Amino acid sequence: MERRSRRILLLFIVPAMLLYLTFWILPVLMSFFYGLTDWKGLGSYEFIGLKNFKNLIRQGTLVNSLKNTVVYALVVVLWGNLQALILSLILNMKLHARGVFRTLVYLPALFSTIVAAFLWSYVYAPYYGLISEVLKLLGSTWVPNLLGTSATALIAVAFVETWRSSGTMTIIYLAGLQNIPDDVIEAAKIDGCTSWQSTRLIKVPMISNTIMINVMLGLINGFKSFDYVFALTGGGPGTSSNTLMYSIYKMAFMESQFGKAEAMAACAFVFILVISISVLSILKKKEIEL
Amino acid sequence: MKKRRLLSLVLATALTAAYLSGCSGSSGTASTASGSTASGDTASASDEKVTLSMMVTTRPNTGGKDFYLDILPELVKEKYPNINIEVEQLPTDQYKQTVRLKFASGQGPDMFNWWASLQAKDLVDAGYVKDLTDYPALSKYRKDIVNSYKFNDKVYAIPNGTSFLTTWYNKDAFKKAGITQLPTNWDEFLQVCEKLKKAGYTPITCGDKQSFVIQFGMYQIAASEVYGENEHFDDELTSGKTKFTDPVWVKTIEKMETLYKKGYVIQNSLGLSQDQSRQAFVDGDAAMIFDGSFGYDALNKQGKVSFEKGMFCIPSNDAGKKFVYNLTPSTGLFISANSKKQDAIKKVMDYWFTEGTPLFEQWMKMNSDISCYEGAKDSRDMINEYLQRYSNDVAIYNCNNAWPEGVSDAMCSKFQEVITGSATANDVAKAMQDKFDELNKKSS
Amino acid sequence: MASMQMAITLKEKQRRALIKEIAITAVIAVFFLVFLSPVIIALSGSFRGVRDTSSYLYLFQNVSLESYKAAWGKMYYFRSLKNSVIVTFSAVILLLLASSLAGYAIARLRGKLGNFLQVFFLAGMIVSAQMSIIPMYRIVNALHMSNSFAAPISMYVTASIPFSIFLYTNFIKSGVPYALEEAARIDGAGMLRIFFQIVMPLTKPALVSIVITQGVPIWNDFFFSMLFLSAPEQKTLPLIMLNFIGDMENATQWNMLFAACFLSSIPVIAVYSFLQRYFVAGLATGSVKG
Repeated sequence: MERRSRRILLLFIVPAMLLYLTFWILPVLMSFFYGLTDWKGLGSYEFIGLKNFKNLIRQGTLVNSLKNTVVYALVVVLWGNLQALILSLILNMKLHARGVFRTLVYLPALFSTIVAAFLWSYVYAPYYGLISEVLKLLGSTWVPNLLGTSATALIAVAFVETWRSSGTMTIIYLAGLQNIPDDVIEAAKIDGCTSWQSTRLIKVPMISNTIMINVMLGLINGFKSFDYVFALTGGGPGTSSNTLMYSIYKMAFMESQFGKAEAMAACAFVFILVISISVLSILKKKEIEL
Repeated sequence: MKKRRLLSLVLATALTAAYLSGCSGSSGTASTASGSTASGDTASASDEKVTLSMMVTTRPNTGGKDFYLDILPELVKEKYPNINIEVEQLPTDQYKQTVRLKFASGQGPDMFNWWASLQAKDLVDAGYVKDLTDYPALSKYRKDIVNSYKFNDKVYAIPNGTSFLTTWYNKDAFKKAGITQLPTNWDEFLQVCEKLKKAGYTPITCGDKQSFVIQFGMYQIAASEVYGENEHFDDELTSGKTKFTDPVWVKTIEKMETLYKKGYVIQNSLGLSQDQSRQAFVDGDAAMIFDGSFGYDALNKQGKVSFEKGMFCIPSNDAGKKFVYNLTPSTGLFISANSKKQDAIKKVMDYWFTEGTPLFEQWMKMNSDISCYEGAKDSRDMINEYLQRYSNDVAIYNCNNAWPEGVSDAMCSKFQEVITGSATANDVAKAMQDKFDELNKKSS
Repeated sequence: MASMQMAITLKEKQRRALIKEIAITAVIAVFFLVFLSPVIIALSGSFRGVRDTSSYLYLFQNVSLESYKAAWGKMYYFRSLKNSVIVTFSAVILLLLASSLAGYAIARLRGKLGNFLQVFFLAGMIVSAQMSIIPMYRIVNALHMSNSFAAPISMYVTASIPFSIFLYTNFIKSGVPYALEEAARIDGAGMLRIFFQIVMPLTKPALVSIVITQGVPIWNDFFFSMLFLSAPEQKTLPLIMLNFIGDMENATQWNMLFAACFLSSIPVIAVYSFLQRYFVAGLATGSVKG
């Protein structure tokens, strides 16, 4: 019986596995193979062994974009989760306008990346941007130039990513909050818990699993960041907001160094995988402790 | 999975059958099935349905018909009811990626627009595009432009026209600042900027957040500075005789840098997008903008204030030295060498590129490039006047036409660091040379 | 008498609760006003003439429907809508089936295999389609799927499988007690019946989360449709919106793009506001108790 049901469970995985292997894993393995060649994306290529990897390390492209990517991912994970957690707790309150608010929170996710990036270029722009205009109204003469300053560009872009993904993360938190039985909260109330206490001591620990999902989501989205860098700063000023995926894209499609780009993608893949799995196992350990 | 493949197989068979039996009800939805109509012999092929795929870059317009999306398929259909043109339009970044991808996997479009010189080299080398050297109408186009599609003495495209980089200026602001004459050399240009600044104007606006904008100023300066003395600079660059680190290029970059150092360029330009910068010019906030003939529509809009606009190419030549201006081939029409529908393509081309046909007339009228066809005049007076003014000077293409793709980006992103003050002109030149060496080695 | 007093305090309590709710609602509303200010900029931009590019911060001046009219005509709205619905709807249904079956199986597989499979699918999240697109394109061509909806649908399902499985597996592990299934099995129910009749209804929040977090990006995405659909008749809404986007030489028609964006979001907002009702606290636990 036990063995039979195990076999049926394995059959359940087959459809997803077939798609996943054919359209996802196979292409990745193929592209890693290109990492060992000097292919330009067109025409013939030669097998050049590990030369691409050596060049990447020697030129230092890897280190700069790796550093930027880590900063970006940190902002997305920390700020993104804090924002979404607070939003979901608010939207889980029993308010009459709850449905409206829950729709509103998802609005940013409805815009295409290109449009979202354009809108934020109007928030950030010096002189003509929303922030500048508000400061002017308040009588300040300071002209902020968040995207055009090397120190702030990366963080300003990451912030747009958290804005855009806030709806998604909030939804996942809301789904998690559904899992807390009402009677637990009721019991806490009867025991004299304030709502802050029940949030901190009951709700948050009880959705630790959901927190893990969102941390992973933020982490991986942060590591894969490409769209907003591409649309908002193009990696600039200079290389100050150049992330891993953006560098890879530039190499592959702007410089036609497809082989080298895939070598870098392979490095990035291993790096992200190691970090993600470490974070996942740390979170799982924490969860058991709780 | 299997089921779905079976389904699509059944569907394809059904559609092919519909095509073979001459059922004309389904209008082109089945581009998969249309491949089955091989070119065959010309006599019987004339009635067979053919679907030609064509790809072009997006040129958004606000109303009315689009030449490629509407006019071209309609007029061809009118003349050859059996030829159906499916036009796919994509924005430049996505376009470059998709076209290459399609060719790399053997599915290239039958006809497509592509850029000149080095940018087309890998498509030519890989044997994807058709040799058009003997196409008769080519002799009617400006020779130097046709030559920019020439590789190993063979021509691979019909030029769509030309465009130029230029400096748009606010004539009213110039008058108010007491500038009566356009500058003719670099010192005069700096004086113009100084006068504008003294008169309270922001002399120049640049949307440097989008780093490609930096090219618009840089290539105008490079025109006189680099090519004024040595027209063969780029040929020698490939052979290694000249380098970006040579004084001409370093000086070009330094001249550009001067504009920022002296405060002639709007402050915080690194935070402004191209759109915002163009708006700053249109609103009269800045007196000049580095842009191009392609900015004609965007820059001729009515802003907060109305003023008269003009254009001139930055005279970066030192006093007494030669002036060179920018004029560059835009895209050209390439034909897939491996397409099985060459007969139909030829029919379309003959219709399109024969003087006097309705399609040709429409093309001349609606083309947003400046035509380089014999005797053709542009519909925009400002542009005609500009080209007339410089007709005795030497013109040079956009510098990056001679560079592997990637060098211009290295230049722009390094120059952003010059603007922030963390790099020098020498660093930019070195970054360009390094990138050039890296990319050039691979292509040889 | 005691009951009288209680009635008064109850009324008083209700009044206080009402005031509290109004205050909270107002605070949240103000927050959303700031949070959604970029969306407001877009909305005002969509109600401008097509050539009006003056500062987008001048909200709702010279209101005009010109951009909507132009966008509507150039989008072939109903044709593109139909294509978008076909692609998104098929992709989401297939995704739900494939990922819930696999996610459930992975959650219930004991031992190393379950853990391995979870990480194996999780690793797919790291892959970014941009980087492996050339092999992906070749595989789809080899299967003779290009130029049919099957191609983008398969790619969208596959791209969403890793996260959906991760989310679903975690939801089952933390929220669905094994005892229920055991009881059903003792009653003689087959695995498929257990899954569809017992597990699936319990996981509604997770399923809805998958629909919202994966369905909306699929609706908004143009990447796979762009690569695999070239006939004008097959274009989806986001793909046809690319016709408004310019490059370094030609200006993007932002006002039309904003209008197009809202036009293409209307169906999503409608579906979303219906789906968000599933996030009513206690739903999941309620069914468990029952």
